[in-house]
Order: sequence, then C-alpha cells, then structure tokens
Amino acid sequence: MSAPIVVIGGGVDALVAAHWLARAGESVTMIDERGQVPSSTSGWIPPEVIRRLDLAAHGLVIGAPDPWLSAPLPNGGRLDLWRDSARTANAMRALSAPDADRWPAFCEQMREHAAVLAALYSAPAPDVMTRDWRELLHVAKIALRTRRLGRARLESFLRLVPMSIADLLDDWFESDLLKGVLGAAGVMHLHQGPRSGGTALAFLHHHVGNAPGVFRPSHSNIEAVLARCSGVDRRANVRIQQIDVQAGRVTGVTLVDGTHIAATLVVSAASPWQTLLDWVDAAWLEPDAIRAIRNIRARGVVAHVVLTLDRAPGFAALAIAPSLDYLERAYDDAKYRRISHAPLIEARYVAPSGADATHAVIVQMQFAPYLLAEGSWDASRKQALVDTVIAAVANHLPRDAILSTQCVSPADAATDDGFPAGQAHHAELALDQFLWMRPTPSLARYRTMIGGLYLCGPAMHPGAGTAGASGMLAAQTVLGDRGQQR
Amino acid sequence: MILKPTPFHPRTSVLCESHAWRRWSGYLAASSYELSHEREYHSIRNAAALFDITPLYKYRVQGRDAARLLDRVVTRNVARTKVGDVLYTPWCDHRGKVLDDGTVARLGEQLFRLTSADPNLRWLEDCAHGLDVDIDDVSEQVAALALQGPTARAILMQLTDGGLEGLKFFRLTATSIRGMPVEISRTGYTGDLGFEIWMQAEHALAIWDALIEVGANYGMAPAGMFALDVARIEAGLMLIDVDYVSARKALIESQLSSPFELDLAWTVNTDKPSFVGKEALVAEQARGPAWQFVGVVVDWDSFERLYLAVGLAPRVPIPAWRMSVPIFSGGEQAGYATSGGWSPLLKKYIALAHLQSKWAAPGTSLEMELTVEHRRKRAIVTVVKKPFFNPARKRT
Repeated sequence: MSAPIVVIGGGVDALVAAHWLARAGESVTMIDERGQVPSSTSGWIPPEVIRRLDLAAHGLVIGAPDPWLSAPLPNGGRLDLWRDSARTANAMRALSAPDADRWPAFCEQMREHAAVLAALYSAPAPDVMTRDWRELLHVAKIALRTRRLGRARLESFLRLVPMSIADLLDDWFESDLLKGVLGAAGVMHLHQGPRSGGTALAFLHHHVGNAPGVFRPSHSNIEAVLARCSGVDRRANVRIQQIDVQAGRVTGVTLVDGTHIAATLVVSAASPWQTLLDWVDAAWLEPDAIRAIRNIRARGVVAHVVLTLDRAPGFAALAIAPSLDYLERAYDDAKYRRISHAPLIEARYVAPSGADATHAVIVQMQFAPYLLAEGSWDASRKQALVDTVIAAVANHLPRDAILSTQCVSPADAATDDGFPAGQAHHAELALDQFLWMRPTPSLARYRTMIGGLYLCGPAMHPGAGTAGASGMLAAQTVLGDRGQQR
Repeated sequence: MILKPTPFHPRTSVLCESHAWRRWSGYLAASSYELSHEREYHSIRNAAALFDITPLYKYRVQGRDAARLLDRVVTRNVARTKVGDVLYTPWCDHRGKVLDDGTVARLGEQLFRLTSADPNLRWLEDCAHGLDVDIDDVSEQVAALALQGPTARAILMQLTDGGLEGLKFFRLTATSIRGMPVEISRTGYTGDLGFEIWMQAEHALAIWDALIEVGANYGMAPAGMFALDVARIEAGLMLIDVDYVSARKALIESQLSSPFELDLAWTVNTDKPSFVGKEALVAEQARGPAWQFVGVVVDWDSFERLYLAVGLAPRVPIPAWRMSVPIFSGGEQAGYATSGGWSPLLKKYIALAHLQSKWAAPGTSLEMELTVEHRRKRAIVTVVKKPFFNPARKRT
C-alpha cells in the first residue's frame, strides 16, 4: 500500500481532487485550513465531475434563479433578465426595441463561442510548444475542431478573444443599462475596467456551462455535498507550517501544531504563491521560477458584505451597473488605489435553510483594491464601505430590514483565505494568464518543479469560475503519473 | 561621457600615455599605460603592478541568513568559512551551468562581500526569497586596487598599520592606509604574490597617491589589462566571455559550461543540502564531464618550422589573443583554445583550451590551428596541467 496522498486547501477544487483520487483507490488525507465548508459555491461544474463523483445521488443542487438577474431602471422599476430569452427580450423592449430584437442572436452566439472554451476546459490546457506526438495530436484535434466552426464563426470567436467587453457589447446593443449589467460579468474580480482588452474573453469564460442567455455564474451546494461524502480523511481547521521536501521530492506536510503527515504526493489547491513560496523552502526552487511565481498577477479588487435580514429582499440577484461608463469609473478608482465611491454591486439573496433561519444577502462590491493609496483596511474603512453598499441598494432593500452587517475586505480575504493580495481567483483571468499560460507556462500542467507536488485550484487551468475542473484535471494528472511509475 | 570614470580616473587618465582605453562593465579601463604593455607585465613578475579593479561588481550581503543565501547561490561551502576567509567560487543556474565566477569574502559573522564579473543583483534577490538578508550593490561605493608582484607585500607593509605580515593566501584583514580604513585580501588575478585593496570611493585618490609614492622605491608601475591578460593566462585563470560563456548569455546548449568542464570540480561541494544546480551537478559528477579545461604548450620546433617554410622567423603573439582556435587530433577536432599568447617569463607559447575529455589527459599530443602568412597551418601542442606558472611566493 502506498503512502497517502495529501490534498491541501479548502475550496471546491481540493474537495474534487481528494474525492477523485479516493475513488481511484488512493488513500487521501485532506488538510482544510477552513473551519467549515460554505453552503454555496459559484461556478460551472464539469459534467464529468458530477458523473464520476455521483454528485446527483448525493444531493447536488444547482440553483437556477429566475429571473437570473434584476437591475434597477433609471426611472424606477427594474429590468428583469429571465432564463427564457424570449421573455427577457420582451422585458427589454421598453428599454430598446433593437436590443430586444438582437438578444436571442447574441445569446446564441455567446453559447456557441462558450462551447469552444468548454471543450478546452475538460482537458489540461493544450501545450502548444510540445514536441510529444500525443500532445501534438491533442493540439491538432483542437485546432481541427475549432476550424470546423466555419469561417464566420471562427473569425468572430478569434476577434472576440482579445477584445474589451465594452467593444463587444457596443457591437450588439445600445442600452446603457443592458451593456452595464452584461459588462459587469466581464470584469468580475479583475483589476480591469470594461474597456480593457481581454475582458470579452473573461465574459465568455464565465459563460461556460451556463444556460444560453444567462450571464451570471450558477451557485450550487457542491462543497457541502462533497464534505458529506466518505472516502477522504478530511482534517478541518488545521494550519500548515510547511511542505516537507527532501532531495527535490515531497515527503509530507508539517502542520503548525508540529504534526507531520507523511506523503509521497501532495496536491495543493492553495495559490501557487502560498504553496511554493510560503510553504516550500525556497532552496528547492529555481530562482527564475521564484521570480515567475512572484510575478503572477493577482490583485484583489472585491469586498464582500453580508447583510442578514428579517425578511426576503424581493430579488434573487440584483446588479447595480447602470452603464459601461459607470463600471469604467468604478475601476478608475481602483487604478489609483481608492475604494470606488460608486461601485459595481452584485447582491445575491440566500434564503434561510435548516438551522440558519435568517435571510441573507451577500453583496459583492467591486472595486475595493487590496492596496490602498492612503491608510489601510481598518474598521472605519470597512464601515464606510458597508454604508456605501447599503446606500446603493437602499431602493431595493429597506434599511430597517437589516439585522446585521459583516464586511470581508480584500485584506481579510488575504489573511483568512490565503488569497494572494486578496484576489479570489489566485491569478487574474487575463489573456497572458490563460490556458497554457495559467498561471505561468511552466506550472500550467499541474506539476511543479518539486517532485510529487501538484497544484490545482483557481490559479490553475481552467481555473477561477469553474467549480472542480482543475481539481479533476490535477487528480487525473496525478493518477497518470502514478500509473507510469508502477 | 558614456563610460564611467572610476574614482582613480583623475590619476590614471594622466598616466595613460597610450590612450588605450577599453570598456569594462561600463567603466573606462586602461589597456596599457605605456605604448607597449611589456614593461607592465614585467612589473607583475619582477616588482609590483598596480591595477584599478573598481569595475568589478561588488555586493554587500548582510543579515542573519547571509551565509545561507550565499550557500544557496555558490557551489562552495560558505557556512564553513571563518571571518577573514575569502573563497573563489563559481555559481550556476538550475542546470548546473556556470553563470559567473567571483569571490566571497567573509567580513563579519553575518556580513559578506561578493564580487562578480557580471551584474548579479537580481539573481541574488531571487535566490533570497524567504531569507532574512539585505543585499546591496556597492559597486560604486567601494573602489578597489590590485597590487600584484613580488614586492607587493613590502610596499603595503610600509603603508598599513599591521595585519599584513601573517596574512595567508585567500585571507582578508581590515586595516588602514594612512588612517583611511581599508580591507586587504591576499587575492589576485595574476597567480603571483599579490593583494587586493578595498576602500570607500572617497579615499581612492589618497590611497592611490600613497601607493604610488611608496611603490616608486619598489619598482611598482600602474598596469593595464594587456599585461594582466598575459599574467592570468600564465596563472591558468579563466575569464568570463572569453574562456566561457555565462549561462545567462549562452544561446545554444553547446555554449554552456559546468564547473566540471571548467576545471572547477574542486569548487563543487555536493555535501551541501541544496544549492542552485546541485541535482544536475551531482548527476554530472557521476557520469564525468564531457569537456575539460586545460593548458596547452605549443611545441617550439613544429612552430618554428611553419615559419621557416615560408622564409620567416617565428612570430610569437606578444599581446595575448582572445578568440576561438580549433585543436585537432588527426582528422578529428578535439576542442578549441580560447586564450593564448607568448609567456615572456616561461619563454613558451601557451594557451588555455577546452578539450573533449578523451583528449584532455596531460601529455596528450594534439595540433592547434595557426595562420602563417594567410594560410592555415597546424602546430603540435601538448596538454599540460594548469597553472603554467606557480611561484612559491604566491602562497608563502
């Protein structure tokens, strides 16, 4: 019997990697620095993960709120975006008849383009520099499949990739509000505004796995489901001191309390920064690699505010993003390391469930940069941010309904969750940190320079916005390598 | 001025009759002070020569983990050194290929000075991740002179407040010259008795003047790079960009060199738990290096014959050459020489050469390409152990 595999890190990718390996007959110990598993996880779950881990039978529920988003109209009232595109088009007609007419075609084209990405997301990113004939074959297959889209579609796809989301939306629509709420999906968690290049790709990336015409990530209980599954020795609420390395190979993990867990294989869903620079003695890393890891771009720009309420808020998901200009200005603040005074707000209602009988609204507030030009993320700064958020949603959420507030700043996320610079995506989802370059070209295949140490998680292809895909691909890589050794 | 003057420039520029300046790490450096470098060379071997070596890159490495950082970077064991020790050492990239070579001087328990031929600040900083250490580039703040030759010690003893008498080869002492603090190391690039003097740049001119004043009685002369080049070849000391290509600049695999291939096996300490390139070096040590860096001596008779055949007296290369010259074993190319020239002291035509291991044993007879009156010829050369010249006074 081989030594156990240790899977490090909270999060859906760690859980998926751990259970995937356990199902393959490995003995898996999971070290979760978090205390409890969140009841809701956002992002697309690859069908293979659902199938292989039997998630449906274990009670997986993927939320499908309808309308999937509501947005305040300039003159009062709301624009509701429905899962049924005809119904959405109808709702839009009051705003702009041409936009309403174009909506179904836009949804269809985005669906087609997202399908190209989806195909890339079920395998390790193609290694375009390879000389290995099997990998070349894989790359050629992808190229051939993409070519088969036909000239018009391929052109449209290739044109979209480096585009800004603002330019893409300006091609299609005239309504500021519609472009605002769609544009918001292109800058989610990015230190970029809607006029930055590559944001159209980010928009498309987050569309992968969604129903046509739905441009917000779905939420599911996947982490709660996996945490309940047996087969993995999960140790929660423990902190890692270091990943032990001897002669360039992992030998285990040492916890802060001094416990040593022996392992010949370690899979980490923590960020590359934390895994390799904080936990591995730098003597084992090549100096060039250290520089490359340090230069992975990760700048947190999101603060979360949790509001508990005495009643339901009257919306499932609310976005305050009245126009592309509004978003760009919100980003301008972040560019100069200021908290946006008129931020992008995405509020999501979480209904009472089980023992937790309160209503809650989770607000994602962007842009709130990790590094501030003046001062730091102290209590007064966070209170001011909460006040900004409450004022912004005041028309949709009466102040007297709020029972309590809690603010998680990017600085809190860095400390509590190990997010590099508070960036939940670990590596920003930008063109140069995408596919075979995610998070760096040399780390893109889940293996690291340390023998037996693998990476998964948001920084790894396909990464942030997908739930469990990199966990699955890392586990497959581990099993493949293990198979070759035997 | 595009090239920087060193702190000694107000003096050296007046002395440099030849106006033969060259570029050295962005500084102006004298190739020779007189029209010919020959007297300067003979000063090295018979009296003393004074070199301005300020253009070397110098880094001050300080802090609790200073020794750990250097041990992570260089191939020799730094932790085992004592205060006052100086190490000559190469350092490698992760492939075990040489990036640079220089010296590590332990100035204090937690204070070191690293000298190098190329800039290394970024490399040091990358290697220092997670360590408690400060790295400062002090290349401009610290001026340096090399005083090399049999009378070097006598000159310095006139000027310093002790510490020189018992100073051993590759040891360093902190002392002062006319009240100005200096560090003096018994090191150099000539393979002779010699010292290097490290000082704050603001004291450079006063210390130069003091040395010139006292050195006059000991036959001392300022000397330039031409003279140094002859001496360092005699001493078998390699030069970056001439005898090897730094792994930072190599464009193709075959331009890379490991320490083993540069005759620096003695500097590779594989007992250290880890350092950059260790894995590759352990593997290479096990299989043996493909190349070796050796000395070759040109056989005089075969050399003379080539000139006699065209009706000329033999012409020896008086300033040393720096280029790649093929070396053959019959029809096969055994390797190539990278530096060579006439040794006035040994009365021999010598060269430093890279040879594939099977031809690198001392005593092996090979042929080196020469151009005699525009035609390619071959002279017989014999592989010898380096250095060519190794006087007892270097160490005693």
